Amino acid sequence: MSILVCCRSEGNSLADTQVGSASSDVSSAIAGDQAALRRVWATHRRWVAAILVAHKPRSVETEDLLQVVAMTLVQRISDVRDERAFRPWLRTVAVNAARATGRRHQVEKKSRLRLVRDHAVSSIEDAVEPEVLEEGRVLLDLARGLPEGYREPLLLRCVKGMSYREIAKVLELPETTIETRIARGRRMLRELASRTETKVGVGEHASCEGVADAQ
Amino acid sequence: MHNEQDAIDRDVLMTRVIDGHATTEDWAAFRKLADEEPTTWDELTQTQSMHGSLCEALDEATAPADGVDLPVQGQDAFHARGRIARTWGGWLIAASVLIAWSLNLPLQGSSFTATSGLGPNLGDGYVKVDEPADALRAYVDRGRKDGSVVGLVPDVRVLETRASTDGSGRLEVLLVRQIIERQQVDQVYRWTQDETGTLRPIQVKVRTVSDRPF
Repeated sequence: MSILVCCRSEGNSLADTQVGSASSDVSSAIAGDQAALRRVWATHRRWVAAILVAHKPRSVETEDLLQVVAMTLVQRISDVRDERAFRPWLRTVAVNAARATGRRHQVEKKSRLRLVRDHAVSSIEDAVEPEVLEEGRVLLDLARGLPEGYREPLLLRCVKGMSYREIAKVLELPETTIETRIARGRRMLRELASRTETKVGVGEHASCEGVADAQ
Repeated sequence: MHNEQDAIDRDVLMTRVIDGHATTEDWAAFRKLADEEPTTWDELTQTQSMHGSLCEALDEATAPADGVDLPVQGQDAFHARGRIARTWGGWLIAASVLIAWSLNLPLQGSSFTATSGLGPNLGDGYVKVDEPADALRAYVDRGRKDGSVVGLVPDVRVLETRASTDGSGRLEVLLVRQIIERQQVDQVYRWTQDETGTLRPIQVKVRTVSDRPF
């Protein structure tokens, strides 16, 4: 049986280098340095996007929410008390932006006029896109249905170079907990995928049961 | 069958292997597990493959982030103008049209004459409006000429149908009539709410280019 060979070293991850070098930028950005703020955003926006993907309704554009987060970053960065608080704060901004959109999305769906000739139009939004049939997208859809505590570390681990250490800083959890949650998240995802015999019709609300977190 | 703790250890070992963190001891423990249950190798292969596919999909989903830059300074002034425009813009437009019609002023543009209605011909550049339908027709015809109107959507959307209250036995139908317009703008924005519920304009980057006529 062929098997994989893994050789990436956690300590030398790209994110460690990038985010480490950006630490002083965060302090400068908090102090009002606009150039530093732009660099900080460029360093962090990919994982912010991953957080948004983890929380937003499927029909909402990630790019729109990123603009909201970017706007909030510009306006409120001075409220962040120090460099260590920055990543959790930015994550909270992203989660709130995604959830606010989710709430509004629900209200809009409920209040939408049901017009006589509108059945076809209203059903388009909920239809499964053909591309979702691709394995990765189906898995991403399934992953978005995992409990939040597992979903975020699992997706953040996919962001290029995000190490356990960096994920732990964003989520304000010990690295060991991050490792456990990623491990459990992968198992849940594997089980969900194996339970999904046909990949059509897998919704956002797939769930995992009987799973306990070990920290 | 594994108990919960065994499963956790197994998951963690597998994750360490996949992420390249497995130590010599981890590999030894993993091989021991696999010897006891050969499907462990299959699970490892499957989990790693899924991790790769998931990461590819996420990479695609988060790619737009690279094109989202911080908003430029002065955006607040834009917000204020946007709010004013949203609050009053519709009324201003409605009011200007009302005034133009009440004074029988020519609408924007030139060389258009409406032929409907009775009364003297007011000449080029004037529109005689006896009924609302005249105004609509004039608007559509003129818009088609200058390209600002593509056309009327033939199907109207019926919102509600009910018996007329005047006892005539006729029916009242509430409907939506749609007009397709074309405009050229420098930039488009979409309104959205931030996490505090404040409306914000979101710049939309349109990349689609087409020479296909509308």
